[in-house]
Amino acid sequence: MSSRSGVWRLIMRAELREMWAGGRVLNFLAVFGVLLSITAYVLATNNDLNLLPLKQTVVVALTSTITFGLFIGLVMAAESVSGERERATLEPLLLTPSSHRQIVLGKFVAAMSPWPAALVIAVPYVVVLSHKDPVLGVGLWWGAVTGTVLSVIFVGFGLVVSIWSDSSRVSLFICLLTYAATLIPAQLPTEFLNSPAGQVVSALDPLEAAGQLLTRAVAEGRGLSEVWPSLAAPLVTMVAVLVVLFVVAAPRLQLTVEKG
Amino acid sequence: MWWLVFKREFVDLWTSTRVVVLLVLFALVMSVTSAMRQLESQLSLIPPVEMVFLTVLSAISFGLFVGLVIGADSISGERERATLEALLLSPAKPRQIVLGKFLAAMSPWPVTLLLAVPYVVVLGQGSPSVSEALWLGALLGGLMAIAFTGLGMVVSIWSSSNRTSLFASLLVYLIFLIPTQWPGSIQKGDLGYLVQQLNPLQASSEFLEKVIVNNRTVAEKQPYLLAAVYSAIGVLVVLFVFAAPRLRLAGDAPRLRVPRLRATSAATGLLVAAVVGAFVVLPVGAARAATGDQGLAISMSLSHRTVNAGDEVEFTTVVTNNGGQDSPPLNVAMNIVKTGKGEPVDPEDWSPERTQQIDGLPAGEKAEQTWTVEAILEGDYMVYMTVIPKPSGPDATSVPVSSPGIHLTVKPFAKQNPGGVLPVAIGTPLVLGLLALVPRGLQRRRSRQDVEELVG
Amino acid sequence: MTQTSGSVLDGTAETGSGIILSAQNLRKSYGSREALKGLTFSLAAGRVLGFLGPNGAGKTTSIRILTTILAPTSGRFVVDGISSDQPAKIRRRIGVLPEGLGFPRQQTGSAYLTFFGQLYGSSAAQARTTSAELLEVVGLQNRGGSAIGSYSHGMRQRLGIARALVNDPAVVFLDEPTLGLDPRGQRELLQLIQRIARDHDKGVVLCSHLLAEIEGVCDDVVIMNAGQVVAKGTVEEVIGRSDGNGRTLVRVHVPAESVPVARAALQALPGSGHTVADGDSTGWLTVEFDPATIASSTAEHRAKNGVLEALLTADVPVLSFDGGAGRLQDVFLQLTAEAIQ
Repeated sequence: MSSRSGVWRLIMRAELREMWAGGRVLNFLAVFGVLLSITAYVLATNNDLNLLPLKQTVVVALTSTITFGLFIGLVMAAESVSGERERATLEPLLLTPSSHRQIVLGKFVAAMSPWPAALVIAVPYVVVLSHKDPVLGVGLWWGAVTGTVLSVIFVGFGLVVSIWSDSSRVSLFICLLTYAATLIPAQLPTEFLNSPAGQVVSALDPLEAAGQLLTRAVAEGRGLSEVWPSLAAPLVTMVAVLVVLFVVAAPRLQLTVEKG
Repeated sequence: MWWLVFKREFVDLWTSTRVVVLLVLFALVMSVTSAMRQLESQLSLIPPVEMVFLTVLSAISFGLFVGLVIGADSISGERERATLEALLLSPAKPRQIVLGKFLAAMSPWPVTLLLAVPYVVVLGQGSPSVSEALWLGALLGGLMAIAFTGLGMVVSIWSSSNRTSLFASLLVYLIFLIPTQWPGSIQKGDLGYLVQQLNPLQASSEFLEKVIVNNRTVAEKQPYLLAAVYSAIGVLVVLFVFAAPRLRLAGDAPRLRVPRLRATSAATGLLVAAVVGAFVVLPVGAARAATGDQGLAISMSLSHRTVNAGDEVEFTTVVTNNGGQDSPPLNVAMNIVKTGKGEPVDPEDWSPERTQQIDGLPAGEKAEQTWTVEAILEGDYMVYMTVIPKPSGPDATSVPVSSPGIHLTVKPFAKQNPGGVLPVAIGTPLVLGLLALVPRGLQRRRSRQDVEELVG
Repeated sequence: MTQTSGSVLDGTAETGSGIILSAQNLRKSYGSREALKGLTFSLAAGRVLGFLGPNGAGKTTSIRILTTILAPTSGRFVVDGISSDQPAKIRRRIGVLPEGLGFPRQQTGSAYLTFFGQLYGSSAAQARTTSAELLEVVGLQNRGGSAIGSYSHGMRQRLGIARALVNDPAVVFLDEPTLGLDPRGQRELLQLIQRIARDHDKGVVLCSHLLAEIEGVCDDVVIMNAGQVVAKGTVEEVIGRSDGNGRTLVRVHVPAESVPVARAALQALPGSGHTVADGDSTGWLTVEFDPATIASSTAEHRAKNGVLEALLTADVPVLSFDGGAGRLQDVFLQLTAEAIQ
């Protein structure tokens, strides 16, 4: 007899099967490969033109990997519950004795799966771009750490929105709007970003914080003691998202989203 | 007929709360930003023109995004809700149906723009660039809204489900969005500029920033504007000439059957095209000195040089005070002009140090400066210096002195495989594209087996 | 006014009396709107209870409350001895086929049932065995390995019923299971539902608005309208066959021009204790037999046969003969005061 704590594994396996064998994630990753190829080619060219130092090249490659990799997870998560609602496949799940937390955990882990795949795909690019400089190891390590933290944040956020959206369109829209909003601070001038107010904005924006972290840790070669402030804000956000997801949202998972 | 469809869609869209809620959210974000601008002095580190640019860009981004999502839902959503059939059975032609829906899906954009106007005016603080920003924003935003709404609708017409339509539309949006996140330094170079111009999102952002913030002219940045124009026209052609007449109850279009293969081929083609670049070599002239009427003279150590893109050129200048009096403090500034079109080039991209200061030069004395120029773009250039004596006060002026030019000829960047990245750049997407085809193939095989089972 | 019969308990019986499901005064409000205004009923094991009512009557709301998807505003219910304040335990003892249920298209029927079996706590091997058994029960044993996307609507509904049985529930809830099925498919499904109740001793709650077919399947019936129960009891009780007067009714449909001849022939039936009346529509005639003259079911059959014989002897074309079936529709219409096409 499988224990109740194994329910999340069942849900995760079913979700993974649908996402991967159904081809959805592979489609995204194919596009990701094209995007990364264009990025890597431009980076390599500019590096040869001395427009971009080697370490900065690696940082940009990692940032692009993270930006796109977590997007895939966000989209999967955003559609995960609201999509089941629309396809009328959520009700049978809710009718089983499985705890809602277990259901959400299974979906969460499944939605996280595109991130490690994206990272693995990015490795050959980063190896080539780094010209086998020691920055490769540092870059991959910090890239993996940062990307994982950010993936947890965005996937968790996507699931929370999905739980409380009555359709995929609404949840996808909210998630993408939020994602696009996190890209805005990169457009702001450097002088503002260096000011205290700008640092608050950077701290609130996980993508911006991640970019700064990678720049400091990889491009500038600073140690953990110097870069941890950049990591602190995303870590706090990650914990907050997980709490909201598993403590607040998951137990309130319902068949329909009651308005008012 | 299209008018009827438009009216129905328009009423549907605006009586349901979703668009209104989104616009309210947008206005809220704008209000918070404006309030912060007024209350938080540190935010005022952003110059007013830059705030104007960012506000206009936000309005455009929001407007095209809303249009994309509404467009993506317009046909596939009706298919899922089983209301498309009634429309197709009516006397309205498919093109008329698509036109009506297209116009309705475009309707949030002008409202977004109107909502943004007061914020742009407030944040602009009376800057003369406000009106220019608004009309350019209206133009570019309109073009982008057309392009992305139309794109969403094309995908919607050819998608069997709303979910597929939304995913595909968002994917395309992401492809355009991600390169806008690249740092400025990698958006330079011929390839960087080419990618910018091919990406309507990037091109629009670049165009607006350079014209509104950096005071470039529209003519100068025309290629970026043209990218938006071509995108809009291209999408409209695909939508109304190819997609609309093929609007069917079921969502399969023949052209979409091998999307991955085409996408992979297109991507490879793009890579190859991006690699092709032509750089011309031209001879340069001789260095000579130039003298201003204050007795200041500046000479260059080089008259001409031919280099490859990516090479560094080092040269020195000597400023001599041939006058009888000590000179005021001097600023020596670098200028680079492309000789072919006469366009100015931003020296910031070419040199780490664009100006050097000289404290007052005593009469008869000289001062030498060393300069480095990185030749980042193929072309024919004139590099010259300007010595600018500091005026004595607000009511005074001075006469800058120009140096002879260095005729710099930059040959194209000829590496086909920079850093050895090409095998990975081509191989990885090909492998992933093939992998992505596997589930589809397996599903088709299983469907065939199921049919055989049924029939047999 | 609610018609009630003493044979449908008033929701107070507990286990030990064969009662597998009972509800007491269930209510559900959405703000100021009352979707359910006090539902009380009981269901015994091995019986099929029909929840009937027009759209918006509160059927689905009732089902969702009883299946713990929705919480009631007030009231309680008991499933197999488990009180409504233990929803997780209740879910272990019920099976549900919701209306308009979706299925993953790429999954096979067998894998689908195995997945749910495991969700209910079976091991993988056990779940596979149960899956095979259930596929056989619902007649899909040859299609278990095919993708659900290749199933017809009827097959998907049968798969849905199989999924509702995967945990061997005490009570099975079926919400509009025959929706979208052709007449043959409807009949087959309803027969399956009957077998599930009778052969496996389960309580079945069947939500539907297909009255003619339901009448043949259900043992008990609850008719709802606008959130209220307007009738409940066994089918016979609700139809009024034993409403105190115990009259047996037969309806016949003849061509309009044959009505006088048919009326005369029926009035000439041997014996007294019957009356002939014109029906609601042209061509329909009703023959009502006094229960005093119908002492047994054999006598009832003979009386009905006599009606038919009289018409045939009189050479009256018989367009339709209703020996009492379909009357649930009349009761339903009368109680809900709605026209059904």
